[in-house]
Parts: sequence; C-alpha cells; structure tokens
Amino acid sequence: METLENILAAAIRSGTPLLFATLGEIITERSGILNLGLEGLMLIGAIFGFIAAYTLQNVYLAFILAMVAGALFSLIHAFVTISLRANQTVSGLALTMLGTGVSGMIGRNYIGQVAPKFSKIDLPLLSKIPLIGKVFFSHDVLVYVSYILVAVTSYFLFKTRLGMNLRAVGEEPAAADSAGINVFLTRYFATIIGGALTAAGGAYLSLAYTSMWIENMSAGRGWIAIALVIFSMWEPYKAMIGSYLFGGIMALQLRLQAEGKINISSNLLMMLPYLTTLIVMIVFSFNEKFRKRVGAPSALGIPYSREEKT
Amino acid sequence: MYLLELKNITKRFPGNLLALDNVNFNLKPGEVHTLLGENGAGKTTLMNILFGLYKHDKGEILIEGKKVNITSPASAITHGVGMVQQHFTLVPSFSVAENIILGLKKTGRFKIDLRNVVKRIKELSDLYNMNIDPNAKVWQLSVSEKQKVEILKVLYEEAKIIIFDEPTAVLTPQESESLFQAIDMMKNNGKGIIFISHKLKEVIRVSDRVTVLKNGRIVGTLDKGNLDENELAKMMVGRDFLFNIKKTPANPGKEVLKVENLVVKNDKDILAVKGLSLTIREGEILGIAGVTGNGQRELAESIAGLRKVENGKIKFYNLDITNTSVKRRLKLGIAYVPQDRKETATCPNLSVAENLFIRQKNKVRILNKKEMLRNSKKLIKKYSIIANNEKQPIKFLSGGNMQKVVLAREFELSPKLIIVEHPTRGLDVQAMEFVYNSLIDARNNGAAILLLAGDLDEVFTVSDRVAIIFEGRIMGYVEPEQSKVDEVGLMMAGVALEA
Repeated sequence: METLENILAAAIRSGTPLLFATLGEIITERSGILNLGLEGLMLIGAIFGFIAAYTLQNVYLAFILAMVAGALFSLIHAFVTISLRANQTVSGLALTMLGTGVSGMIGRNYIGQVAPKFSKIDLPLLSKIPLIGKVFFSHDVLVYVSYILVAVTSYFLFKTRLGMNLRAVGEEPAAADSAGINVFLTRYFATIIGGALTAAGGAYLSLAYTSMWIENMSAGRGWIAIALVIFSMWEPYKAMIGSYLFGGIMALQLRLQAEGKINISSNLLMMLPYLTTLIVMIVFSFNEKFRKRVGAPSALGIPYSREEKT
Repeated sequence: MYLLELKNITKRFPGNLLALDNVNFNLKPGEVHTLLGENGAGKTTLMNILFGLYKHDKGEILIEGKKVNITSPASAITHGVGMVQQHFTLVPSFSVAENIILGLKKTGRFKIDLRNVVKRIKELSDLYNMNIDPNAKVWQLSVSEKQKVEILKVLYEEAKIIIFDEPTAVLTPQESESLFQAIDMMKNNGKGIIFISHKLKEVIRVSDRVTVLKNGRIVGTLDKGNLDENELAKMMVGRDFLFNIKKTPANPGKEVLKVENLVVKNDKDILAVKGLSLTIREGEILGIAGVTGNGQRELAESIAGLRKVENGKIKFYNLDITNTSVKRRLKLGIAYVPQDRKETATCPNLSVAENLFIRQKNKVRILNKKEMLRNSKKLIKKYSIIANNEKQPIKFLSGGNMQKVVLAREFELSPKLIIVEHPTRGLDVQAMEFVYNSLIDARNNGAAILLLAGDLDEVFTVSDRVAIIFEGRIMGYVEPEQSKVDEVGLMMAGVALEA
C-alpha cells in the first residue's frame, strides 16, 4: 500500500511537467501551428526559472519569469511560421536545437548550484482521504495549478468565443478569415501561450521536481509531450491521463533502476517512455478510421496566406 | 441613393497582372445586380475587394453615400456586406449554429450561448423555406444545404448587401430555382443582391440589371427589359458565343472499357461509387453529368488506377485490370487528365519538358535530355503552349497552358482510353474550344473517352452519349441532341425516369 501510494504520487509529480507542455502544445496545435520546439522551450523554461530563483530567491516570481522567457522564445517560431510562412517542422526542430544550445551556454555557471524550490503543501481535508489524498493532494502548489489549468484550458477551448475562434483557425483558416477572425493574431496568441506553458513545464523541473540546473535536464520530455498531444486527441482532460501514465512510466523506470532489484539494462529502461510513445503513434496512425475521427486540426502544419488560396 | 458604389477600382496582382482596371459598379436596395463575365474576368476579385479579402490599389467604396474603408471581412460585415462564397467557408467539425456565429461579436464576447442563436436560425430558416437544423454538424450536410448555411450566416449578420459568388455551380437546376426564389424574397425584403455568374439563362432569370466584365474592364450594363442571351454572350466573350467545333457523328467500334458493378470508397472511407456499370467503345465519348461529389472523382480515379476498387470489375478490351498498377494501365494505353491540375496532374517545380515526359515509360532508364528537350519544343509548338521555354517550371504557366501541357502529354501516349475530368475548369473560351476539338480529334482517331465535367453545357457539347450520375450510380442515359434540361435535372437530383 505504502509503495503503491508512493509510486502513484511520483507518477503525478513526474507527469506534471509533461502536462504543462502538453496543454501548451494542444492550444498551439488547435490553432493549426505545429511546434516541435517543446524540448528546447522546456530547457529555456528550466534555466531561466532556475537563474531567476537563484538570483531573486523567489520561486513564484521565477516561475512567472520562466513563462515569459518561453513566450518570447516561442515568438521566434510564431514569426518564422506565421508571418514568414516557413516550414513548421524545420522551424520547430531549429527551436529545439537553439533552446538546447542557449540553455547549455547560459547555464554553465549554474551547474552544481542550489536554488530555492516549491515546497510541498498538503491540502487541508483533501490530503486526508485515504490513497487519493496522498496521491493527488500532497504536492507542491504547481501540481494544483496544473489541475486547474486543465479545466481552464478545456473551458477556454470549448466554451468561450476566443476558444471557438482558435479552433476554427486550426480547422479552416479561410473560413475563419472570412468570418472576420484575425488568423495571424490568433495563431500568434496560441503559439505564445503554448510556449509559455511549455516553459512552465520546464521550470517545474528546476524549481519543484529538483532544485538545480542540469544540462539537458528535460531529457526528452518535450518529445513525449508532442506524442501526448496526439495520444490525448487534442483534448485537455485526456492530456491529464496521458501525462500521468507517461509520468508513471518515467517514475517507475527510475525506481527500478535505483532499487536495482530487476536485472534489466538501464538503457532499456530509459527507452521505455519513448518505446511507448512510438507504439502509441503507430497504433494511432495504423487505425485510419480512428485517426480521421479523432480529428487532428485539419489545417495543422499548413501556413495560411490569403492571396494564395486556390 | 445607391446602397453601394464602387468607383474606379483598380487592382494589380504580383507579376504586374492587371486584374481590375477602373471598374465602376453600383447597387440599389431591393435590386439584383449581376456581374457577368468569363472565368478570370475579374468578378471574384472585385467582390473579394468589397468583402475585404483583397486590397485595391486605387478607387473608393461608398456604402449608403458614405466613403468606407474595408480592410478585412470583419469590417465588411460591420458595414453590412455579406458574401456567400463560391468555395464554402465553413468549418466541417462545427455545428450549423457554431458556424453561423463564428466571428460575430454580438452573441456574447466571452462565453458562447447557443440557445438564442439556434432560435433565431430556425426563424430565418423557416422564413426563407430552407429547412436547416441549427444543431447538425456541417460535415453531415449536402452541398446545397451547406450553401443554405452560408446564406443563413449572411442573413443572421443582417447584411444589407449580399454577394452570391457563382452560387449555382454546385446545384441541380431544381436546387438553383429554389435558390432564386430565396433571392427574390431577400430582394423584396429590401436587400441589395450582387449575383455573380457566367451562366446566361440564370442571369436573365434572376437579375434586374446586368453588368458585363471582361479582362478586368466593364463592357456595359443592361437593364431587365433589354436582357438578351445573344447580346450578353457577345458582350461577355467579345464575339459570338457558339463554339467552333467540328463534330461528326460517332462511329463506335469495339468495346474498350467495361465497368461492372463498381464499388469505390472516397477519402472519408464512405462508399462513393455504389455498384456502377458502364461501357465505352472505340471512337466514342461518354459524358458523365451530375452534381459534383456524386462519385465522379472516385470513378475516374479507380479507372486510372489511383483508387482501390472495393468490389466489381474494370475490364479493358476484356482484360481484367481491376486494382492493377498505374504503370501497367499506362502501358496498355489508358491516359488520364485529372481535375486537379496543380497537384495531381503536374509537378509544379519541374520544367514543362519534364512534365511532358513524366508519364513516358520507356525501356531506357536514363533520361536523354537532349531528345526530351527537342521533343518538348515540338509539342509546345504543336499544342501552342505559351511558355518562356521548355525549361520553365510549369507552375509559372497559366491554367490554360498548364492544361495544354497535360493534354499534350496524355494525347502523345496515343491512348486507347482517355479519362478526362473537368478539362476546361478555369480556362478561357479559346482554350476551351481547343480542348473540345482535341477530344473530338482523339475520338475520331478511335480513342474511347470518358468525360466527367460539372458543366452541363460542356458535357452536352462534346459527348456522344451522356450518363447521369447520382450518389455513385448511373440514373440513366440521354442523347445530347434531344434531351430536356428538366429531365436531366431531375435525374441529377436522384429521380429515376421511366424509360
């Protein structure tokens, strides 16, 4: 019982950075922009969050600054793909490279330093519920923020006018345009919000999950988040399930490695999340009917230009 | 006072193409003013300027006597301009009501409340006899229903000026008539209607005034009393409308293509061709008439080998070619002119020469560039293709010349069977005439031709026999010379006629 509780709680903690990034990418992709730069954005969030926390000694401010850094960094992707209409895949990959490089460079002096971190807050009453309390309500404040964020994102996308406009832009930009929606502005907005949330996921790693900066500390989580967007069919609540599932796999892998009880190569264990990602992708793309029904935004990855319409 | 005045509108496209040259146009309330012109005459460009999709270089727009600056569709809508687009601008995964309020500010800025919207749409739908369910998802609707949603959207926005851009292109004659009745009602309710078309009969049916546009210039305006088909045609084309086509009676020979109970799915995995059978013989053109989206494309692609046949047989000179490769069909002499010139028919960045030879399946694997270029020069001359030279990427050619390249390529294979889809879409009259004569020449040389086109006039001008297709089945055959429009229309709408 004790261990189960611990493992599940670890799954939530380890899934939280994934959840932030996945929610961000859902918003971005719903507007028709594919951002493969999540890995780079997470690292940017992690390093800027860490430096801010280290210098200002205030984790809340640091978290917000990390999101601002992510928003600014994703502005590059927005400008290149929305205004210049360049290939989104290439720009996204470049963003990952750039993020890895920049974070490595400016983070060099911070390796081995320790900054303040978000502390655990047991929610009154809720944390007393057997099993559930320990698993869901005995974490740092960012985990609770992420719960709320799921509901807010879902409400925003499906119940508000702005969210409807955003989805329309991702489905049929020409239709949205002739309905008087500013396609470019909407896509900029979605890309920047997405970037900020992804950076928040990265900041979680350096401000809550650990309290230090390690080069490349996102360790592939950005790529997993991209797969999770598909896994969740572009829906925030399913993103929650997916994130904790994959978070669980990552946590389990760490635990198995640490305990050394099972004699499996650590390389193999580290592959586990990616292998699962691959399998999920394959299953999704094989089942054509399923793929069509889950409906990726129809205009995903396609630049929009008014006078080039045919 | 005029509801709308467009003064001296001029628009240049990149490449210094003059699309509109000092165009003047006006509209009174309670009037249908038609813009008539061929494809490429500038009708749609002018309306896109009025609707804020394009920016004009010169000229001004006045609404109810006041000069307005329309910079986007949103500002057009606030000025009371609504447009029913040629290509529907609806979001398929959204409901009718969601599509209608998309972009509208007055139905709540933050949270969406659909209840009142649904009620209002029902009222409008009843008022204009449209019978549209506001809660239906748009992807479930038929083409004519989608158009009704577009119209409801404009009415919901309370537009004073309503633009219809070639609204009948996707409708059966019956559906068109009910559209005209709705337009008459809107007119009587004081709306100003701009109707865009190149079909003379319907223009005369619906218009109070007609302005003819040609090559981006106004040719003239006629009032209701003076509307005459021949006069309009002369103004539109600049010469008599009749095509100069040398068509002799067909002399059909052996059976070339036999399709038996063909079943094919569309891109959405839904049956599009449902047990269709037909035969074509040597020296015969079989035209397929029907509203777009009734399985024409899937039929053509399955015969060309681009689409999997689920059931049934395709036989070529009695040889079963069901689900064989494209290459094998090419070798047998099956040519294909796809509807999609830019994506399926050509490779945009390859040169004219490369596009001309891309389907040649010689034994030699290494390209003989010199020979290819020499032959291309000949073909460019033979088919009077206008290109800088044979090395120019094909994407820089005009639609008509691109189509000539495709036709040249396919005809040079000396095919025994030619499948042709919408061969004249977007072409001017000269190019159309060329395409028609090329098809008839090929037929006179013994080729069997399957012609699929949306335009009834085209099918009836060129074909020796016409089959009417509806929901993936042949509804019946008619002789092009002696058929009645209403009979064809009924069959296009799915009503089988007594033989």
